[in-house]
Amino acid sequence: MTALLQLAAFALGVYLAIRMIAALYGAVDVWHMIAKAWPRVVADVVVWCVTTGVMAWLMHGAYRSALVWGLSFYLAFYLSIWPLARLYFARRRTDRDVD
Amino acid sequence: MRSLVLSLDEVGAGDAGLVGGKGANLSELLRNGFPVPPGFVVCADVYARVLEVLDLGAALSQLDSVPPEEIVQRCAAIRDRLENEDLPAELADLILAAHGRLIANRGRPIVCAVRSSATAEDLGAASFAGQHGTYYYVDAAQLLKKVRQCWGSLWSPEAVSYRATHGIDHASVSMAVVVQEMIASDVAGVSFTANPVSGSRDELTIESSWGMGAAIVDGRVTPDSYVLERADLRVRTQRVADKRLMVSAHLEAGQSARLEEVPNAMRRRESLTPDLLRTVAQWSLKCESHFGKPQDVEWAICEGRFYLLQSRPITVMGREDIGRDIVGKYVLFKPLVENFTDPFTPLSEDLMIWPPGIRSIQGWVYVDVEALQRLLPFEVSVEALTEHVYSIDKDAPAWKLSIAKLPALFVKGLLFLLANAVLFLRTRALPDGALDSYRALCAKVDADTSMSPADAMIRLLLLPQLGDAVGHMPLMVNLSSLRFMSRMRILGRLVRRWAPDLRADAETLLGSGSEGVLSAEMGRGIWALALEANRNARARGILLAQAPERALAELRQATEAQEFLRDLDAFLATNGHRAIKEFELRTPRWEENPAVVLGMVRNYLLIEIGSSLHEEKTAEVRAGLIAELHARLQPLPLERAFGLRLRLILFFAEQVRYFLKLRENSRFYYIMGFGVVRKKVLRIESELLRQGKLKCKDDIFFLRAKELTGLQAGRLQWLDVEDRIRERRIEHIRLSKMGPPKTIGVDMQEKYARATQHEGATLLQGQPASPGTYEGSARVILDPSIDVELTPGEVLIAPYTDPAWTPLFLTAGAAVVEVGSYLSHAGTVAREFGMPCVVDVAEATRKIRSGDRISIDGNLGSVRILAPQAGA
Repeated sequence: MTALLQLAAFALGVYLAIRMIAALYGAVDVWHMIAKAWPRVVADVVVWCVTTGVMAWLMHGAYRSALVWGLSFYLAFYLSIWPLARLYFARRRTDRDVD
Repeated sequence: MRSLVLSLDEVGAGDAGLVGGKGANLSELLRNGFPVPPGFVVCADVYARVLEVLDLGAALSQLDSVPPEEIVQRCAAIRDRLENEDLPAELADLILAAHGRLIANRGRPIVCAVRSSATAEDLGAASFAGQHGTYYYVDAAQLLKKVRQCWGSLWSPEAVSYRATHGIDHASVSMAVVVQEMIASDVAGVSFTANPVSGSRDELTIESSWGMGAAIVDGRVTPDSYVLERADLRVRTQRVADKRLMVSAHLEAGQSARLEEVPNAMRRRESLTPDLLRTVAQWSLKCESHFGKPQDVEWAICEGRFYLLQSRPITVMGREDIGRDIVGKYVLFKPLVENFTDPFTPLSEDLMIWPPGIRSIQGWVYVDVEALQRLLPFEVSVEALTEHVYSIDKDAPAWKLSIAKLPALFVKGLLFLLANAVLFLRTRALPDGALDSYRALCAKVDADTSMSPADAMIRLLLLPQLGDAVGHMPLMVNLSSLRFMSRMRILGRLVRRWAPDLRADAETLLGSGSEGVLSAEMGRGIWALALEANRNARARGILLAQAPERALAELRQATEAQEFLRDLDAFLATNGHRAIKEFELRTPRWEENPAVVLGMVRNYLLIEIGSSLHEEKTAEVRAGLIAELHARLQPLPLERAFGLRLRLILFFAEQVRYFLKLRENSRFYYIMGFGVVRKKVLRIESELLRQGKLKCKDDIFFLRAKELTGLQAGRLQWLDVEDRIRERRIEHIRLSKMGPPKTIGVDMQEKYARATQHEGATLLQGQPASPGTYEGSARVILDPSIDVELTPGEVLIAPYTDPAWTPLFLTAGAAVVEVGSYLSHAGTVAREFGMPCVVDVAEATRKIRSGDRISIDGNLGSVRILAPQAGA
């Protein structure tokens, strides 16, 4: 049961990481109309950061660790996508010798 | 020695071994009284003598034992010697003497065409098309050099590779060279004694334009086109094109640009008089009669006299032959079809990087059905999936879930979700205008001269940097918009559950009418320009009196028209990256040629109507529908108190509107990215033209990306690519006329009957794209920049539509389009404007004629021709 709950905490960490990253991107995404959209951007950032903080605060011991592992895992996974994708496209280009 | 160089009239059909296939063919025609320009042939024996003198015999005999990786290098050495070493004096004298006699017989200075005529050109299936050199505008000073270059072209890497592929012994081929007077044609063209696409034998097709025929053959101009009855040479259809460019018959000293502008007065004038048309048709039929097979005839007219330049059998490769060598099962993805009605040019095709599961075949975009089948968690046959991908509509298919596929797909799906979850969330509810950040990035990438077109393509359309805004990824926005399907399904279920007998098009109507659809905004922008021109008497006068290109120059000079010009500039600042057939990099953008926009404005001025027929009433109809829905829901439990059902339906209607809008708008940004890539290609083109590595504008798009880098790096020169470009241009035209097969490697039944008779009317069936019914007069329009004469209320019949067609939707009563789907541009814009629209109506532009009385049912997807146009 404990393992299952830890797994759930890990999944929750992944989910919260996704929401936080997406919320933080809000400012970049609507930069050219930030004056119009900033309340939503700020609200998203606040909601998801606070939710993550509250969740971490509510959990204890192994569950909090699992949550943090979930958060960290997704962050590392997300950052690794970019070099991998670049490698993929570089290979496709080499196949066709496109410069 | 005399047999080394022969006059064309001294040779016959059986001399191909001596003078090559082309030389023998021209001689045969000349000896049989056909008006072939005079000339002579430098026989293959001369080539053999040169090989002997240069001591290349040993090098040739060793070629078959050379390892493949060395062969190109060895051939390059042979080519280098052939092209650069002087001819033995006695051979040079023979050739120059024959040239002198040719000039003496003409009694005036002439320039010549120098054409390779390989002796192996008739080897079975090997056509050698485009492998060997042809040179124009050749005078005495260049003659020997060009003859040597023809020989050298036998040893180009392409020709060598072609022979290797076809198992032809390198040492067995030889080369004669035909030298002919180059006819300074006033008009030139091509005729086909059978339909080159369908193979139909009862009609004759003639294409003609001003100047040299190369402009038509290479596809640089849209020629005038005539279809004649074979039996009595009566003109069945004719289309006078806007012929903007011509290849000059005279090349002044020091001039290298062969293309020149056609004088304004001649652009839309018929290039062939009825008498000349008949002459061309008669000679073409004589060619066919002589050779006993349908012919593809190149001809020229100089000072009213007809000249036959070439006659070859038509090689009709049917649509079904396309992709015959391709392994796998592919289907056109219908929502994309309307964007790619013509195949991509080679450079555009190479610069595109398609996501897995999608590939380009002969320049057209196909979905790999087997790859898709592996990705879907359903038990679905390849055939059923093929049909669904092709005819994708708003109703999701009812396929059974495959339990066996689930575990593997779950893992793949989870990875995909994790990789893309952030992007999906970011694109879930973008506010209108959020993608404007993409415009800023485009400007940044455009200004970065170190970035190649391929790099720009990836950065702008596929893989942004970590800190880039979501607007840098129109592809993901596009994918995100596919949520529309699930929302539409839920909306349909809710409406049918609670108000089952509401009008049939209720869901579609509820899901239409969102603000901020950029294609529709663009149409309204042109409309606003027309209104401004109407207010400004000077601008209106200029636009109505002059052709668009000339009008622009006059407007710039007229002080009273400055306000209109400011509006035009503002319109172009937003929409200038758009164009007709805009996914193709070769297509000029409106900011390069604003005359296209002025043409549309002018058309509005000509029809003088007050406002859109549909937009005003659509909101009213939608409001009526919501009121009716409200009334029907009222008797249901608790609805009167809370109105939850209505709110839920309106919520999903709003979601459908949002995601449909996102899909249509993502295109606006795709095209913006393509515009930047085009600018980069044009900069390279300009540099290559300056260096003499390219000779004509627009040729660059017929290079492969590898060849382009070869030219940039100096590994290739103009002579290496000239024939390839020409050959690809010809192939491109042929494929464009033919159109793509719907499937490759898999059969698909025609979903709709081609045409049936029903209650005294001809019934054409297509796919519903926008609801409503309409009856009116048909107007067939093939090109929105040329033949726009749409009277308000007429039914637009189009081969395809893209945003350049949007202004026509403002005045049309309904639309019928040959390609497309519910998701395609025609459907989206028609729904926004509230007009009935039927798409995927096969051959609509051929079966319906302008003036026919027709009835459209946008709910059922049917088109009925009630009364054909009088005299049709």
